[in-house]
Amino acid sequence: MDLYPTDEQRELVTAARAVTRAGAADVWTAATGQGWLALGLPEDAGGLGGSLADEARLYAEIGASAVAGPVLATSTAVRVAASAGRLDLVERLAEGRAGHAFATTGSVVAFDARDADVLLLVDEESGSLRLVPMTDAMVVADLTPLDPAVTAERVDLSGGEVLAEVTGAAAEHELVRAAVLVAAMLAGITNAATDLSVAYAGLREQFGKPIGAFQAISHRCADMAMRARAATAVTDFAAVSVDEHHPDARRRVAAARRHTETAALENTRATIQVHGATGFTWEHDAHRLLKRATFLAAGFLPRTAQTEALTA
Amino acid sequence: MRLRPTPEERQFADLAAEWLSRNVPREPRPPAGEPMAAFDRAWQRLQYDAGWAGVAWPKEYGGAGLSLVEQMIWFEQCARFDAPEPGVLNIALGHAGPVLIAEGTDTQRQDHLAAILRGDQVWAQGFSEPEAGSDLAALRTRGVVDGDHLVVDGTKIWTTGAHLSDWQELLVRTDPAAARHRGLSFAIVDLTTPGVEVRPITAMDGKVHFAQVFYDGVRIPLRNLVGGLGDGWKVAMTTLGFERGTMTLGTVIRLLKLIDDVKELARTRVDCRGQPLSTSDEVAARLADLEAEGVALHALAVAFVSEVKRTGSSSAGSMIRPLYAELSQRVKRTGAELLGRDGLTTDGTDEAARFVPAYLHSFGHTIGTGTAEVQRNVIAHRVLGLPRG
Repeated sequence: MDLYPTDEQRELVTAARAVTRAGAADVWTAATGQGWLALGLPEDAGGLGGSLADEARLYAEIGASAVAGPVLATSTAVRVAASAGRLDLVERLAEGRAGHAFATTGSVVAFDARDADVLLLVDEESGSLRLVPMTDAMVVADLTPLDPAVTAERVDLSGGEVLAEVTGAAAEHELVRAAVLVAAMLAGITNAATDLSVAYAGLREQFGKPIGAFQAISHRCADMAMRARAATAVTDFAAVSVDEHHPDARRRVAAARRHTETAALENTRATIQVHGATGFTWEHDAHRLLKRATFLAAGFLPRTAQTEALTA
Repeated sequence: MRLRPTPEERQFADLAAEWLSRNVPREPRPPAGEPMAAFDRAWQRLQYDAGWAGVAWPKEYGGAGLSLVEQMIWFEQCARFDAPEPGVLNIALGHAGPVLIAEGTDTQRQDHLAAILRGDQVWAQGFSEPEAGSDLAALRTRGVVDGDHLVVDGTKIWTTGAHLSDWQELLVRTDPAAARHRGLSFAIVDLTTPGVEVRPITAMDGKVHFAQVFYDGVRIPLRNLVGGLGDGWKVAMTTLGFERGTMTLGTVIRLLKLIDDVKELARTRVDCRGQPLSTSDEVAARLADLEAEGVALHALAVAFVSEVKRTGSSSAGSMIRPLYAELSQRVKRTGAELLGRDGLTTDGTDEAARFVPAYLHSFGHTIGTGTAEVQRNVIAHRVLGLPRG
């Protein structure tokens, strides 16, 4: 029993932090250049063979930056290609990016599809993940996304060509991994919102003292810190449980997903309030964290599926 | 990171399971008073004789000298076999013992540590006063040095288990002229000393959990001071970590089991149309939240013991207690509410007897051992470094 991060994990976090704090363009460069997309891919498929726990620590940093780029969709697409035996596609995607949609047919809303090489189509109901080629001709309309870290498009899926598909246990494995990494990003957001709030509460003065000296603010910050600490712990706990094939892994993943979703939404709402009018501006990062959390919360393993897994 | 046990951890868990499967008392714990205390002492003695007492206490003080990880594994196995909780020995094992290990003199350690592990000494705390609750440093109970004794006058209140205790930790004001945190001293007092009077107080659940204790010229030998004269605040603060982190580990593990029981309650009880309560979306979502928070708290406890083992300390220690207290309240309240009209008696059904008194008792979780608000102050100041008001 040891949930303390390894030296390698801590180095990974430090390196990731240096990149994510530097700004949007660099995150995607790092994702491709530093091998983040292949971190959890098995070595025989050209990956680095990292554990899901390693990936979770990395994705927490990506989440905290709120400027992700399609890292999870693309890394999942690479894995789907590898799992389907399409190593040629794996190689092609090393330079590419994937959009995604939680639908497989018709005219649907997709994200990050405009500049994508492939679309990852997720059907959680039947448990399948499919890769289809993405062309500009498929874009019916460009939409305005809630989350400025993504693009949103209405896309026509009637073309029909499928590059790769996984179903059954292989798809289940990918869906569980993706759910853990969504939880990890939400945990990162939960921590980032806490850090922003605590820093501001210590600096901003009203009534002649830092607002963090008032319990109305400091207790809010304490609540945020508790949620953040638990969010990190439960994500590690779920990731290691999946890595070790623990019999409770599915329930723990659903718990991590549920806890981090609630925590990230609570903390991002709270940080806007702690920052006052500044927190309400476009210029400040607080709204980006809220919107990123909202976007991720609607992603892999949504609430109803969590409820089912947690009450079974 | 790993959750899978090492061969040593596996062996420890197996030995614990094997012993617990044969030794956990079958008879129910008496509900109150001296028979209840005798039951708790006997269970502790059984553990002591078999070498299971004080898993994480140093060997030189009679413990097993293992880490908090093994302590956690022991609690997990205890929950698995429905072993009784420490009960009236909670303060002795979870607080007084660790305080004496950290700050006591050799004589104090010899006099008390083995006796605590054997279950021979029941302890109470003595911090809160009628005019000093959350503002603990406002306490007024006075200690005046007279020769080689401290003479104590005043009163302590909300003292859990004082009516069943042999010894008490006592924070008193020994220097009224000093700044309020500096004038305090930490003593241990034999509750049979002349001048001590214990008056039990009935709590909102109709039971006696705590008492007010009065001191009238109580003479405490100076050798019973823990730390020096004037060191009381420092000693009291060192001990915050034991109470709020380590002491809560066992109860966290038990709470996970209670969440399972509430889920089972929702599956077995039906609504007015004869459908199981668990089929309602509202109930299911609520149970899912409790389950998710329970797993998160379990994970935080594992992260806490892991960090303590690797680095010697963890700020998660100050977070486990408030998170536990509030989740535990929600779990018990949910259990009581799922009972519907059956929750209108405390003994009409087995489920009512299980959940209704627990619900009433749970209101104390966010008051005792420092209110939820004081615990947030501690996190804000000590963990987050926010300025004091």
